[in-house]
Amino acid sequence: MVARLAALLLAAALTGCAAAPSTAPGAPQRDRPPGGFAAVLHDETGSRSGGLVTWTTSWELTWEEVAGAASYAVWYATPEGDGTRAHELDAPRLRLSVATGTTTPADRAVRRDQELTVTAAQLSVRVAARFPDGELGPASPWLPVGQALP
Amino acid sequence: MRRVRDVGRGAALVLVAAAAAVAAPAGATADGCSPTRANRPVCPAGAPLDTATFVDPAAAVRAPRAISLGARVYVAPSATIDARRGPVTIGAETNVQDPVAVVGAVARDAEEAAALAHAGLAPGDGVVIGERVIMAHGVTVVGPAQIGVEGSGSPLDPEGLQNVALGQGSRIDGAVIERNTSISQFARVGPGVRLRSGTAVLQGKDVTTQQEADDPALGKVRALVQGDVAFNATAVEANVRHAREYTRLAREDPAQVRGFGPDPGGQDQDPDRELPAVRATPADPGPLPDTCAGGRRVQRPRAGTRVIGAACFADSQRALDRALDDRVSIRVDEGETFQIGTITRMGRRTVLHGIEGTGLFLGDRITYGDDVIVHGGGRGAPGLPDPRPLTVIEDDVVIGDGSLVFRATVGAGATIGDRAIVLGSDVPPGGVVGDRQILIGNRLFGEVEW
Repeated sequence: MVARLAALLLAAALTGCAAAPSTAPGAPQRDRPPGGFAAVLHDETGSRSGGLVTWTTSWELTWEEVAGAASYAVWYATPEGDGTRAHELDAPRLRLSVATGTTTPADRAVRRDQELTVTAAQLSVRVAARFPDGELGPASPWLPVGQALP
Repeated sequence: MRRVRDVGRGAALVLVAAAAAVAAPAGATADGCSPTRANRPVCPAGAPLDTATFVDPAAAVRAPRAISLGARVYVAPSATIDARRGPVTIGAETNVQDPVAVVGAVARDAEEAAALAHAGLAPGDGVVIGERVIMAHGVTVVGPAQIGVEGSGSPLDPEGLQNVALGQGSRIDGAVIERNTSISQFARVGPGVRLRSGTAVLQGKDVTTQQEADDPALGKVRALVQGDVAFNATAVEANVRHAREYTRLAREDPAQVRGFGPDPGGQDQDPDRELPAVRATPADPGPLPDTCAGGRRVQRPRAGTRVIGAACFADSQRALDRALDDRVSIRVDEGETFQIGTITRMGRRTVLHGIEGTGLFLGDRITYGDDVIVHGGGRGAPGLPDPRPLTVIEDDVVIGDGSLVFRATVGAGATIGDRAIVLGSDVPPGGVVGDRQILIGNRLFGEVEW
């Protein structure tokens, strides 16, 4: 039961928001892709015996609400091809853990940069507004996952 | 260091699988397909488009009756599945990219045989690969081994997809790789080791003990992150699409999936089918043109080399026939044009691949060794920092055997050593990356350990 609850909470985190969906105010902007992107990195660290630290870096992408949008569809791409399946978000926000490790404090920044570089080479994301009738607006440009923007 | 040894080297060797008749795969399901001659390139031959498995005619299949392939598997050109000494089972929606090698069994010494038993691997098991496993370019799997079959779900994977990613150039040698795991580029997991669900192996690391596989503090593994899960799910989807679209292409005309031929097209980013072009005009490494200017489009189903889609060669066909090894694979099957300057030599099993927005620009007089991987990667929006949309290799570069150049630029006259990784980096003109060095984000991260 606990594991199931944890999975549900993490699922909510993966999809960006646990709040009930609502329609963004204003006349629907069906011809405009999402814009105003910003991406930041969040670092969490903890201590471990032997002078080591455990750390995790998350990448959070936000964008301006699209008027009239009920939700947002997210697609990923890899160097092997684009995903076809859309992941739905209730709010204009996507957060993913993208790097983690157990290292000495001195090595943390280096390993973090390594993992972020690899992630940006391997994973991109784009988003589109979904309107209450199910129609999708135009998609944004591809954005590299793991890189701070702008 | 433990090594796989050749059969027949001495009494100390324990042959763990009979070299003769091999039974049907232990993990074969009732709906598994054996890629016999009648079941290639589409397996089974009469499968509906949405469940068909595709085995590229340039893939090598040994002892096909001891091989079982699930639905929607994609086996790329220059891949090898060898079940002569042990059966091989591959689950649904798994991909076997170019030039992956899956070998059912090899001879093991007594130490290795004991380690295998400790991990629950029996010699007759061969290789059992579960559903939704990514075997990226240059992966080697040596049996007995089990991948993506056992293990648990992960809270990072709420959809329960439980994918496994074996990264470019990695090697699984007599190991158990559980579901929800990831092996980074050029990493190895050795005999008797079990990689548990929720774990990822770091680039170039050689995991030879269970302790190394279980404890991130030892510097070889880390926990899985959500970015891994998103990557794995997407890469599986893309290759499932390949199984369907190459099947469609083959059914229209089998000659289209042999030698120099068209890409499948039919995708949002790549709606049209295009052919390779020879003696095309080299372009500057700016935004790539969507045509092979001045080139002559060619379709040559009898060619040994597999070249798919809009690869634009500066060489003539005759020069290419001299420079390319038969088992080279150049796949432009997801959109973007590749500009390929004159080739001094391109060795066995070398692969060039990339997708829309990550095309390759390769200069003149480049020497590509054997088993080289040159791959586009990463998309960045114009105007954003470091969009790095292209992988560029300038003139007169030498790339050593078994090396990876991935989303990177390499300046004129540079040398990349054997089995090196150049990822997200810029090698200056005349620069040297040593054998087995790992260069990521313009910083050295030690060497490939094996």
